[in-house]
Amino acid sequence: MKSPESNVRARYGMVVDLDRCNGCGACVVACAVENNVPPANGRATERTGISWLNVQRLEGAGGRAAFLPMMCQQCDTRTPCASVCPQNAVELDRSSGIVGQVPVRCLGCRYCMVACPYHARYFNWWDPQWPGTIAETLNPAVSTRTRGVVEKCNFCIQRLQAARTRHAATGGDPAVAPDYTPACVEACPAGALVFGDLGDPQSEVSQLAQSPESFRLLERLGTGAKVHYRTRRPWVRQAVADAPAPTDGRTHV
Amino acid sequence: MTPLTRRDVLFGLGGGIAGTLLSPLPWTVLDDVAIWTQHRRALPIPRDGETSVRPVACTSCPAGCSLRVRSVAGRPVFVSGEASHPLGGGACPFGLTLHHLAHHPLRLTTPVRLDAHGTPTRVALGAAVAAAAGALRAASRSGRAVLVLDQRPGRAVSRAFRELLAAVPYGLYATPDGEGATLQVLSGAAGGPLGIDLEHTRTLLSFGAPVLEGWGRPGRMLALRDRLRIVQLDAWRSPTAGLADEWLAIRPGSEGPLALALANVLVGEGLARTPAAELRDLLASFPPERVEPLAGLPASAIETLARSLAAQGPTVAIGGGDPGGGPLPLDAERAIAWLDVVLGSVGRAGGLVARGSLPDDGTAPLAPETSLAEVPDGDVRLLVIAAGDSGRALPWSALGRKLAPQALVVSLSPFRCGLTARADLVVPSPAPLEGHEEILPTADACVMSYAVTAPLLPPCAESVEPTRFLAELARAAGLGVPSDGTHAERLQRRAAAIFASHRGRVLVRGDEGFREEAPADAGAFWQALLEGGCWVDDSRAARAVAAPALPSPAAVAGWLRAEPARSDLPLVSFAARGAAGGTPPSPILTKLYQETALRPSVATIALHPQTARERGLVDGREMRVVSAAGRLDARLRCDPTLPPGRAAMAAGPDPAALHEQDAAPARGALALGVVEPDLTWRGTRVAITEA
Repeated sequence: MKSPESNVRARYGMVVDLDRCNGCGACVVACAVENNVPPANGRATERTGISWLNVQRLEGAGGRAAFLPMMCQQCDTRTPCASVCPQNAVELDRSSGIVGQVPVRCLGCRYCMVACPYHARYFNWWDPQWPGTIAETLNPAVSTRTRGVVEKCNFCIQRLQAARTRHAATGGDPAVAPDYTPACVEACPAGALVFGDLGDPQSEVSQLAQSPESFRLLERLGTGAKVHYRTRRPWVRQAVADAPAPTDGRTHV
Repeated sequence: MTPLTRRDVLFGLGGGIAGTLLSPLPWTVLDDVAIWTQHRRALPIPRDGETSVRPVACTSCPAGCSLRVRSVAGRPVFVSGEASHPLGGGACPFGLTLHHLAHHPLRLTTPVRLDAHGTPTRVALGAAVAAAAGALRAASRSGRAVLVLDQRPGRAVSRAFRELLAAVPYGLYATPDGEGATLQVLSGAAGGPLGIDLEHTRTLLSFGAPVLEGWGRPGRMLALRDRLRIVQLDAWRSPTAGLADEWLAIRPGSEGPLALALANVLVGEGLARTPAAELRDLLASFPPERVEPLAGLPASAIETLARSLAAQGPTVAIGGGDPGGGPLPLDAERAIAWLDVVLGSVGRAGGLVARGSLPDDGTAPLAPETSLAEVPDGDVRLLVIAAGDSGRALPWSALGRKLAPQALVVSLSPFRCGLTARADLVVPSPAPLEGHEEILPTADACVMSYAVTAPLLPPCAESVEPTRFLAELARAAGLGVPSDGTHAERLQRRAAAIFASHRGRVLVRGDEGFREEAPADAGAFWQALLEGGCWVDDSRAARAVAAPALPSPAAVAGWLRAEPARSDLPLVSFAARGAAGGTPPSPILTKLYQETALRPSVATIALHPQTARERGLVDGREMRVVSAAGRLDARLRCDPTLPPGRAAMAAGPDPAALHEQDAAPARGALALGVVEPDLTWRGTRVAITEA
């Protein structure tokens, strides 16, 4: 077990089991619901829509398919988006390792989108709109964003704060969040997403990340991404392990 | 004192400006302005409050997945699946947006009359009931039928419908064919419901059923996936085909002959039980070599598959079709059912096993259940579309052909879309999460179970429980059907009957998950159900299965007839369960159907690149797609995974309709579907040209 002191310096990360993902899209929808990401504007396309978590389809020979959930890879050692932001709107939280985005600081230059090698950042081209009275179901833990700012996955950092508060309310260390789970992980019906502290060698996520079946996207860039992927299928690994960032929503092998 | 010079004033002003710029003041003002502009009134600011979590069940399709809803200040804000639920957990994207449905732009909160364009005009409940009662009396006078279409049979409210129809001179209670069609063919021969003992099945042979993407209770399939071999016979690379252990691309409409060819190999090579003489004669007409051109599969592949089915048993073969592609023809289902019989899968562990029924909770006479296809065309004077969605598409033309002139269509759905968009009157029932709902086993379940989900939200003041509408209709029409209490009272009575049967186990929700408990009385059992518990009857009924009917001679002759060469293409229609039914998808599903390429929507039509090249069609261009039933425009999507010589198009949803306030006219494969007399539309063919 880790001591509470060491958990202050947690490095939250995720392992995505590509052999379990069935491409149902539950994670995509759960992410949007939890983080108040609005439905698409009528004119939005795959390039201008906002989907913090985006599942890409991989096509193999003989009709085989695999699915690749793509979100902010939570770079660690080198965070290109943070280093280029002129507004300090991108922050690497040292207590959790989470790369967060502060929309109220963002001036919308989109330099971070250019810098991100994973194409995991999204620009608000339109003001958000929720048809009917669906705005009644918005999550009060996340503020809505206006047009003109960039946003991205932050591992549902509001859930980290809530989990810390819950832990503190039961007499625990307020810096520790034992039941912290992002929305996508909670929603995945296939159990393909494993989340936890990569800094804790005993954690499941840490052990899975160390296994030889695991790898990171664009590892050669040395970003130290905290999202790991794993598969036992050679063709899937070949397709994604060092593939360029996809642009058309599909990667053909 | 030195007089103040002009230079002093300029120095003072300059110093002041420079000092202010060096202070945090202007930057703070800028920052505040930025924050203010980002929190302007155009942006909704969600209200905060106390957080609570409650178990519910998804009611948007028959799967009834177990969910947990997180509410803030009494408003549901997040839904997740409950993986540990004994009836199977997890949730699909449609279930995760269940809390949006009560707020959906197509939600109806008062009884309305719809004009020819689907524009609603508010009417009083009394006026709606009087109109329906008038149509009912007119039907009785003219000898026409009163038809109730129930897409979720078996519920307490289904019983209420059947009680009312039993009191009408010509009352018909119909259900459309669904994903359990193969089981229904065999259940008819068994005299009771059958389920699939998937926990002990080794190979599942699916004739186009979406077994890995929304079939049965998805949580059950996910739990079994690692030890179940899935062979998918599909006309397109469906999501299930892409994830299956083996996918064999077959020609559209070849399911029946292919099932018989597989049975032919099994019988011919002594790998299966010897069938009755009449089946042997039928199988002799379907050797693999003869089926090869029909199915588009080499004879050797058919033989290899048949041998593997026998070697890696127990094997279950299922049909049922796709939620967007509609049911398979009955004769194809019969052929698949016979394949199960030949495989020896009926009545054995790992095969098709008898399932118990719910204890009876009433004595009133019931109208018999009939298939919608058996309802005579042009005979229905009053059609009531029951609330409750199967999640499967049903083209309006399948229903419209049943209507007599001047027929009245009344829908009890809370949503102005799907079939309801064509109704004359809508008396909206409570939306999901607003009323008590029953969760019954899915078609594949091999054990009987029962659960109830309690309302999480207060119902709209003017929404009407279907049982109340039926009671008022019976009173207005002078039918003399006794009012049997409210919807909740009916459910409570059903729960009491289950409790009194002393069958099965009761699983109640505790702090550490579910535990078995024996409630003291019926009231305690009802309370356990309301708190998220469930009743499971593991006992298996022993039931002998007689031989199912053989495919009709006309169908067999049609299968064997050589098809002339045609320039148009067979249309493969598909949709995820819930994407083309009577419940509108949440607008947030643009994430899957518009903002990413994860799921194709009705906006595109797919062709193999070679097929497109042969016709001079260019990828990405707008196409005109024409069938005998309609025409529409769609963008061409060249898909190398789609076999040549066919077109594929989704039956829903329409991304444009996801953010429109009005119910858009149906687009996609459903608008093109040519509905046959047996209410299938899988034989639709389309011509594609550049628009």
